[in-house]
Amino acid sequence: MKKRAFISLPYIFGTLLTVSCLFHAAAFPVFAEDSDDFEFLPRVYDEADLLTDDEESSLLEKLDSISGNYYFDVAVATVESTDGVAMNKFTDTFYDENYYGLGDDYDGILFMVSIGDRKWHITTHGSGKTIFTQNRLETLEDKVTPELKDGDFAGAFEIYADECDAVLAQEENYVGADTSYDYEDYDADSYSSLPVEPLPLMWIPISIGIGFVLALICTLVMRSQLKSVHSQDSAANYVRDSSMNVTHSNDIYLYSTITQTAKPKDPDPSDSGPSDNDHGGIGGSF
Amino acid sequence: MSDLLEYKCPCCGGAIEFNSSLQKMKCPYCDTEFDVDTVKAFNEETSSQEPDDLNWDTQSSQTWQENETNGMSVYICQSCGGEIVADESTGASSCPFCGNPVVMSGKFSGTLRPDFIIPFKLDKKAAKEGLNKHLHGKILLPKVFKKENHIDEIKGVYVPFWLFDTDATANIRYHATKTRFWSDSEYDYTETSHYSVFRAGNIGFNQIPVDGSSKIDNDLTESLEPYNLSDAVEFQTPYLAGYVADKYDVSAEESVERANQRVKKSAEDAFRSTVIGYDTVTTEDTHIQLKGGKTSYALLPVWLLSTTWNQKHYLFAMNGQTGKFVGNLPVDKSIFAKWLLGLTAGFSVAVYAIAWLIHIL
Repeated sequence: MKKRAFISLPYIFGTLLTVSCLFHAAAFPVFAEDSDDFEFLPRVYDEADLLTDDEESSLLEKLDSISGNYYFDVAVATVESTDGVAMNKFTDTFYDENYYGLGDDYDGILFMVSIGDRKWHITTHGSGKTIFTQNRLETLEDKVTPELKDGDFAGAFEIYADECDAVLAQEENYVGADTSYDYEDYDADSYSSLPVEPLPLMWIPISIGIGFVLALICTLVMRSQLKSVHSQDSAANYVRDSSMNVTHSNDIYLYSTITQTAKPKDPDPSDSGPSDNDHGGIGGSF
Repeated sequence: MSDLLEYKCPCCGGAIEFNSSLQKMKCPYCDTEFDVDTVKAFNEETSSQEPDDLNWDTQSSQTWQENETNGMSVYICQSCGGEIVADESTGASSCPFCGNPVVMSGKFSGTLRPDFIIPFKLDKKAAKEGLNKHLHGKILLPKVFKKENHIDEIKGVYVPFWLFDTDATANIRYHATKTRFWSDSEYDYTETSHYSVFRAGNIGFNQIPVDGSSKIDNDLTESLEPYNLSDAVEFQTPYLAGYVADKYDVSAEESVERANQRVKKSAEDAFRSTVIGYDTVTTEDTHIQLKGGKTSYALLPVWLLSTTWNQKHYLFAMNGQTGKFVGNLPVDKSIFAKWLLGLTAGFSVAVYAIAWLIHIL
C-alpha cells in the first residue's frame, strides 16, 4: 500500500518539482512508474506562484501540523491552468495521481486554485468525504470566496487551514491528536466510530406530517368499508346475450397538436461537486 | 341562387370557415385548422344522426282476478306513510322501512297486479347471518351500535320494481386521442392526434329493474343488484304468505327516466368497447332510439332491517335471492380520532426511524 510520506518536505524540493513540470506538456506533475521512487508533492504546491516564500513556508508549517495532529492530509495547490479539463475532474485527478491522503483510504482534503481559469475547487477523499459534509463545504466556500475574489490567496488558504483545523477538532473520535506521525498505532477501523451528525430537527415535523398522511389514508380506507350503497348507472347486467351489433363505424382524423418542452440542462458540469464517487467536493469561480 | 352551406367545427361546434391563405378550414372561435375533407366527413356523419326516441309502452295489462285480493290487508305507517300489504295470516305490526308501528287501514284493493315475482330464496336465518357478516370487521363501527341492533326484527319484504325491456338503436360519437412521444438533444415532444369516432348499432336489454317504492332509496335497491330474473315466475298471491309486500307509489312513467339513463350509459359503454387503438376515449354525443320498449311490474325479494342510532335512521337490505347485503353504517367519531392519532404516532416514529437509518448508513 502506497502511503504519502509524512515528513515535511523541504521547500526546495517542491520548487524542483515545479521546475520539472515545466518540461512536460501535461498539467500534472510526472512521477516515476515505480511507486517506490515516487516523489510526493508538498502540502503547499504553488505552481502558479500566488504566494510569497514567507507565506508559503508559514502555510506549509501550519498544514503539516494540522495533518499530523489529525492524521488527515490537508493540502493546497495552485496551477496556471487546467488546460481545458473540468476543474473538479482536474482536482480529483491531481489528488489521486499525486497520492494525496493518509492511511489506507487516502483520507484528506485538497484546495486547488487555477489562476488562469479563475476557478477553485476543494476535493475530499476517504473519511474526508464523511467529515466534510455539504454544509461544512458550503461554509468553507462562503469564507474563502471573498478572499479569492480580492486576490488574497494567502488569506484564503489561511482561512481554509483554520477551518479544516476546527472541523477536524470536532471529530472527537478521530485518531487521537498525540498519535501524530505514528503510522503503526493508526487504527483504520476507528473511522467507523466517527460521530454521525444528528438528524436535522426539521425531520420531526416531516415525520409527523408523513405519519399523519399515512394514518389518514388507513383510517379513510376503514371508513370506506362502512359504505356499501352505490348507485348503478349502467344496465350492463341486463344486456340481452348477443344482442349487440355494430352497423356503422367511422373514425375520422381531425387534427394534431405538438408540444415541445426543453430538456433540463445540467447547471455547469465543469465546476461544482465531485467528478467521481471516490471524491467529495465543492468548487466555483472567483 | 345557391344555398348557404354552414359546417360545424368538429372541435367546438361553431360555424367554421374556409381560410383562403391557409387553403384549409379554420374555426374563427377556437382557431383549430382542418382539412376540407375532414370537416365534410364530420358534418355528414353528424347530420345523419337521428334524434332521441325514448318512448316506452308503460301500460300493464294485468289486473286482479275477482276474489284474488281477499284475505289481503293494507297497513299504513303513521310515521313514514309507508303502505304495505300482508295476508291476514301474516299480519304486520311494524313498518319495515322505519321500524314504527303500523295500523291496518283496510282490505287490499285497486292498483295493478304484478306480472312477475321472484320468490324468496333465502330465509330469515340467512338474513341474520348476512347482517352479522356485514357488521363483522368494521373497526370504526360504534360498539354500542352492534349491541343496540335489533337483529330479530329483520323483515322479508317484496319490493315493487318496474322491469324495462327494449331494443335500442344507438348512434354515438366519441372523441378519441392518440399520443406519441419522442425527443431530440434539446426538446421532448408530445404529439396528440384527435379523432372523431362514430359508432352506430343495435343493443337489446332484458328487464332492467327500477325501484317503484319511494320508501327505499334507489341507491339502496340498485346496490342489491343484480337479480337473476330468469328465476322470476308469474305472480301468485300464495307467494306473499309469511312476508309483506310494498305497494308501488312511483309509477312506471315516473321510473322511465332512470331506465333511460341506464340504457344510455350501457350503450355508450358497450359501443366504447369497439373503439380500440386509442389512448383516451370520451363520449361526446349519444342518440338512442328505442324499439318495442315495454314495462312489466314485478315484486322482488328483499330482507330489510331498519335501525335508529343517535337520532339517525339506517336501513339495511339483503337481496332475498342472491344474499348480497348492503347498507351504509355510521362512523364512531371518537374511535376514528383514536385510530387516526394512534396510527399517526406509529407511522411518525417509523418514518423518523427509517430517516435515521438512512442518515447513518
